[in-house]
Amino acid sequence: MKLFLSMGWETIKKSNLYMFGFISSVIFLILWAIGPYLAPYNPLYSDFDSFNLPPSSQHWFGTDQVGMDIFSRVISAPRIDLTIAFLANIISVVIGSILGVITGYYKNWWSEALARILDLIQVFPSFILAMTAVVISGQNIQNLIIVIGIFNVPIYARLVRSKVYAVRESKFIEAAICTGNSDRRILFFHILPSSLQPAYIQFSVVLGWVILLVSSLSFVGVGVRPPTAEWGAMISTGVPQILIGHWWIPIFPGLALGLCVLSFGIMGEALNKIMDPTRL
Amino acid sequence: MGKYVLKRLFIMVIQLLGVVVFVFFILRLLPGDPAIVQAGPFASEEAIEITRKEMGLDKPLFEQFIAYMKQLTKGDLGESYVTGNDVADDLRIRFSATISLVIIATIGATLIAIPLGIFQALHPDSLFDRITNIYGLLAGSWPDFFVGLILIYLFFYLLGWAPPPDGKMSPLIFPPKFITGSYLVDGLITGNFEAARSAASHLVLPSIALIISYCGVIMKMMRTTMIHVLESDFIRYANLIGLPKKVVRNYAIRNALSPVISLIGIRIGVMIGGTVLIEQVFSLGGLGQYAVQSASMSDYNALTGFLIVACIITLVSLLAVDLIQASVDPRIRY
Amino acid sequence: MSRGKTDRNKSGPLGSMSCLKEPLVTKILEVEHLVKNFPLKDGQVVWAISDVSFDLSEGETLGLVGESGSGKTTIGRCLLRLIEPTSGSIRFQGTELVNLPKKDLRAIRPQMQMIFQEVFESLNPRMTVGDIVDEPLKLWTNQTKGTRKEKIKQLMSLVELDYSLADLYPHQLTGGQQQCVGIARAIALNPKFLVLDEPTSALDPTSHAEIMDVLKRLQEEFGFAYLFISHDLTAVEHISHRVAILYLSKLIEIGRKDEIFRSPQHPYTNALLSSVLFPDPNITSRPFILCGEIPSAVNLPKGCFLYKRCPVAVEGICDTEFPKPRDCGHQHKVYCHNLDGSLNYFQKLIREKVCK
Repeated sequence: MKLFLSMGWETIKKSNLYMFGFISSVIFLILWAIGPYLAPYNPLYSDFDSFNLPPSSQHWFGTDQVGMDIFSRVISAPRIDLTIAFLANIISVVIGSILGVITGYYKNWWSEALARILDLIQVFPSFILAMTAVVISGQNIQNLIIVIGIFNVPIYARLVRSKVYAVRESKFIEAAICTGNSDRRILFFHILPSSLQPAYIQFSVVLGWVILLVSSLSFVGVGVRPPTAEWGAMISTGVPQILIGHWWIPIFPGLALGLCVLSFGIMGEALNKIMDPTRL
Repeated sequence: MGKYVLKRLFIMVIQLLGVVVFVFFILRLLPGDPAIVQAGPFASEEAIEITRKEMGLDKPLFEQFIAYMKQLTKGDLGESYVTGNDVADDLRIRFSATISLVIIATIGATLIAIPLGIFQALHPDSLFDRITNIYGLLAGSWPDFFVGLILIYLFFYLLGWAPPPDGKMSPLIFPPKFITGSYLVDGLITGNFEAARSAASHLVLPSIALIISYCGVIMKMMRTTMIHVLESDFIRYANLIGLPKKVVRNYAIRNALSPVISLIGIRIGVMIGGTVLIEQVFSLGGLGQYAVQSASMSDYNALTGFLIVACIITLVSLLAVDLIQASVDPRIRY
Repeated sequence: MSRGKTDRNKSGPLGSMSCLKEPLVTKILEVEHLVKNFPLKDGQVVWAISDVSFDLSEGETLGLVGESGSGKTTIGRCLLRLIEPTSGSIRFQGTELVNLPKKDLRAIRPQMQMIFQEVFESLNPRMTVGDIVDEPLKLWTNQTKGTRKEKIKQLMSLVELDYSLADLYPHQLTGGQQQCVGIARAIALNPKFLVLDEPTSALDPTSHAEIMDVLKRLQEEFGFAYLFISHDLTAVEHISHRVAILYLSKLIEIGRKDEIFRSPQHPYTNALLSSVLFPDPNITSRPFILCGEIPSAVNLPKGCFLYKRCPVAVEGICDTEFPKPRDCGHQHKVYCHNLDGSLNYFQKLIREKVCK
């Protein structure tokens, strides 16, 4: 572990891009932890004397149409966005890994059928399906997390499954059979540890996607509801405003959202590189 | 080849059946009672019960499914609770707006991304490669609706080049006769060029927004596979025996193209999801907007209908991609 | 630990040409009519092994030779039931392995081991050398950690590995060292029988020689029986007591090493030997090259598989049925219809060469 950390740090240090992603990810994680306390204004307080104000020294990112301070809202948003994304992603990674190992290891009809179903879900316009599922199961944060978590299961299941396929056929598994390992020991001791790696390497990248999905759902009004400070919902309230030139209302939350996704994406790449230095 | 197409069509029908079953049951097995949503927040117990009967939700699930399948064989997707129209009609009217956006964006993204990716792979670590790499990173991080918003701000508000995001065409122009549903095509057919021009100009920004968002992924894939192919032994050999650079390059491109084409096919499903958001921003009045509206109203029939249509689009495009690939790649056997 | 040295080992690498009876030794492995085919999607089958029979005695090495695709690796894997044979019988120390229930098979596993061609891939990249060698001990003995550690030390010194390597991971070792780890793991439970599946073909010449020496020494010390699978005839000549030649899923000649190398009978064996230069002056090189292509393993020809390529093929006989084994004495069996023709043909060839 110590070796891994120092190796990781070496890799990150060498590249400006990774350094940027690392610092930026850390900042977003800090905002997640203490963002609302750093905010100069209450993110939910609407000051009707100062609405639609452009960015100024008082309101760094301006104020929106009901007079809420956009800067305060932007830095408070990771609290909700990252929480949903983390929890949903953990659901996906756990269920996905289990299903991936099962469908990869067992060669019988039901594991085949399961694999086909997972493939089919991936072909679906999953955004719409998720949107529908959230609305029908009741639009609250808990359901949002569960639905997103379930709809991203195939991503991990596929990653793990293809790795299990590869590992299962490898020679060291054959050697393990020769040594007289039991089936269960082969699966849990020899196949599983090597097969889960792609899943947890990809965690950070998928985390970015999930944040995108959460804000997209909020954007169409089926995710987190305004006035909660959430990037997608904030962009959504800014759509009519941009037509009359109030660009700061959607642009700042949008920039923060993209930056966050970008940072986690870069961290994912860095993790890939650390795990496998021969990668392109 | 003909046999292969038939076989694929057959598989597609089965997949579609699977989709219908899946969509039907998942919508109804989810916790939440559509009757309550439908009857409204202030409805009494009785009113809810009546709505439930009206919607046929009081019958056993399997019976509901049989009834729905019977309808479906007649091309009847049921009635929308919200608009009161036939869902099939609703979808037909809105279909062309969405599909033209998807087609334009897919073709546009492909035509731009593949040459860029090839160029990057041929000149790795050049300034151009770095700039496009940064673009690739950025494009995947911002949602397409946000890109659309920025485009609106720049080209409509600041520069005034683009029309306002107020629909499929300017509301001041008399729309052409309904033939395909696409104002652009119908305008051209009926000679209503004013409408066609307006419709085309309304498609520009949404298409660009989608292209910007989806180019990055395809470009990145093209670059990686191309670099991979360029490092393979048969390319080394081709260089060693002194084949002209251009010939070698074409060899490499042909070999790198195959995985990229399948990626494009997979992305179409994602793009339909993206179109929903883009339509929302530009109020294009396509399937996406309809879906959002039905979803927020729990309009079951409309949603099921929409999901089925969306899956048909995805499956058809996957089939098209597979056929293209089969004709390009000699390794694929029918 | 059993230290069953056989007399045969002492008779030197080339043995004697005399017709003395073999010393009586226990058969450890008897393979009869082994068949393995892989069905294709269109209903046809690929024949990997068709009707192969041989046996192996304690402390003996049988070299299994053939071109790539002749099915030699498949035989090795079938013997250990890493893949399921289609039919036939494999008796290991009297126990029938084909159709043996999984549980019983697992109980037998420690007695038969394998050494892999893919040296690096056969070691779990997440385990240290020590863990790899320890695994069989941990699974099959009740020894404490301390005694196991002593045993690991002992095993590693047997394969000439320094114990300081025990904490390293496989990718930190050289190819030769990796193979030594593979050997240490295989012999940890003192097996009776080892399949050596081209154990040196992925290694450089120095490691190759070292591994061969280690294997030979271990056999002399512990009396392992080896099935040595290789296409490297010099290596086979170096380590084997008996040699079996495979051609396209069939056994075509089997016999004692000196018989096979000095008086090969089958045209294919002659061709195979003529492709190699032996440092041994007793082995005459044969100026002969086989023409034509190997038939497809999907549509096997009706008669002898060599028919179309054979210089002494007889029409009407060789193309109608696969030849039955003919005994040439000293356990030397050849599958050929026209043995005399073959003998004359090749003697003439050699004479002509010498004259020139």
